[in-house]
Amino acid sequence: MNVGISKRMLAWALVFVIAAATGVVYLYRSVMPVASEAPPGHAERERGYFTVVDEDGTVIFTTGHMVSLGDEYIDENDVKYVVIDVSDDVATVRAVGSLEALPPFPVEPVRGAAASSGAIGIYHTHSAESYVPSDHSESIPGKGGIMDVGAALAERLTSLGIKAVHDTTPHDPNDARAYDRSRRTAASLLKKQRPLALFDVHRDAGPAEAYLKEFDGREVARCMIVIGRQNPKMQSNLEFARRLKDEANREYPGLVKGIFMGNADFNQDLFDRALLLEMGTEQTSKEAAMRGAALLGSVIPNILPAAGPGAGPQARGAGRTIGWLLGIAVAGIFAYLWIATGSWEEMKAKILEWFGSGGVRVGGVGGGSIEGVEGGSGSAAPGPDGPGSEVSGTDMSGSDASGTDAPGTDGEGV
Amino acid sequence: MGLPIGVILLILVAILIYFGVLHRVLDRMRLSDRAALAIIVAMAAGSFVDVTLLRAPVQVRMNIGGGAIPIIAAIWLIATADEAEEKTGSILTALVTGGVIYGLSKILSPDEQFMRISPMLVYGIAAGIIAAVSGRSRRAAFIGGLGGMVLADIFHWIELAVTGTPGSVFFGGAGAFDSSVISAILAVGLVELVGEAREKMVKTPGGGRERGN
Repeated sequence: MNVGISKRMLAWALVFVIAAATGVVYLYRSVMPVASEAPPGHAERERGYFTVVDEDGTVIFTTGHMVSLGDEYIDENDVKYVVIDVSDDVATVRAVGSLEALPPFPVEPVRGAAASSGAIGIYHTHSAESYVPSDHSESIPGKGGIMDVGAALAERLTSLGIKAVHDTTPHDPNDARAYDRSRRTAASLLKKQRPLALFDVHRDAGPAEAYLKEFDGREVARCMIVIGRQNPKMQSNLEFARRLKDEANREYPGLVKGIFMGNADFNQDLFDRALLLEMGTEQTSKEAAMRGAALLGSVIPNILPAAGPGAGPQARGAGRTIGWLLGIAVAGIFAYLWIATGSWEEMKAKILEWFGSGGVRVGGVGGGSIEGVEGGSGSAAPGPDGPGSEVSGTDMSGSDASGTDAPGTDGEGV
Repeated sequence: MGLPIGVILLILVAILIYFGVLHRVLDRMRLSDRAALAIIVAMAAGSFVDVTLLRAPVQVRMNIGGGAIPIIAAIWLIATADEAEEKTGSILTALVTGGVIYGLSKILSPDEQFMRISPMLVYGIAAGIIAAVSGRSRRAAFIGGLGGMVLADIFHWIELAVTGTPGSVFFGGAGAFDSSVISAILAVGLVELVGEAREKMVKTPGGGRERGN
């Protein structure tokens, strides 16, 4: 093979080296925080949780979640904050304004018998999370106290006539693949139960006082909703989260303390009404968290649409996401075509040829080929239209295995 | 069901894009259009079928669309590889990827936010790099990405059994959108990009080009 060196080849080599170096650095910065120092914008939690303060030093909230630059928080009064600095276990936020109130719920909410068309799915990615005052440990592999909190939520929904499916599949140990394993549980719930909403119930880490509040004279662990920012359905999920917060706080002021938008996915790309709920911390009692879950369960039916297609509350967010998806797809196709053909002229010729030949196939350069998107088969795994498995009530698939001496479960919140 | 029209459209668009990419990846395996489409339809339909393989001491399940069919496709791709070297390379890529993924799951932080990119994507990128290093074969990348995730699940199963940790194993449980399928797509995409860029660099004036398989 004649391998002549030309300016063009050198340019390609330079581009490739830069891209490869960038990729290596990017991966290194993604992977290495655990092994070495944290990358900019991240920090280890010296006390097991982050304290998030505003620029005057006033504590806005605490959380066991990792807090990164650019993360956002909406407090119970709809004031939105953005994280502008992270140092050790203290993050500083700046208020960027108050959010406009959401428009009224556009469709008849689901209640009682009307709920027969869908279920509420509940599962636990961190199935070991527990409450020290009640469970005497912050982590019990496979059967953490968090399961009882999920059961309390399911029982309240069931008592209101809503079908609740509480999946108690354990996803231990709490390692980097825990969300990968729970993704399969979430997808299974989506395809079998046709859920109206999906909740991944956790407990946070940090001081109990940050979560506790009295309702009707009883101590209740409040809830923080968590949304993943690396999630194409973020806007839809955020709109659902805001609606849940507004409705919960209208009935029980302060029950939902805020919405944290962290730098992750949390499997929320699977569904547009998928939320992560933090119910108390390891320092609150499990009973307080169960009472909080029950109160939350009593308002959830008010924000879910009854049967029948129509303009649901997530329609606007979905439209925006469609735009992003299409934009990314078009950009990706053009980038690939440009790499495959090598020049704008050749790329234009290929596109014209593609349209001119009926859109099936255009021979790529030197044996490659470019095809139109033609593989859409219409039915997808996590789509909500699977054959409904009529499981109702609670504790669908609990494992009876009892855990002993399981390593690797540190029981940290989130 | 109550899904807004916007959300239904969103699901349709995402499915079209995802399966379009998957079709392209299968095409690079030198499958015919019809065979690639048949596999995609089978994966989509099979996504709704779960099979329980074991109930105790560790619950083990397999999804047909996200587990069984891709695994069968990967085995078929190994069996039909032209050269013994390619077969060996594909199997080695899967083994190394499985070990790397299992290792990454232990050394990476369980806090998903600690990563700039989702761990799920890291696995696919790792498989792509390993495949690229081991021979720039698209076939090895597909087998490595998919087989690596399956092997990592098997290693997890062994860990649960040995340590007595309550847990579950669900091969391909998220169906066609399972991390194993996504990993395979990413790995092939990465090798494809590396291959295209490399071919650009060694492209001769006469138009002769190398091509991976």
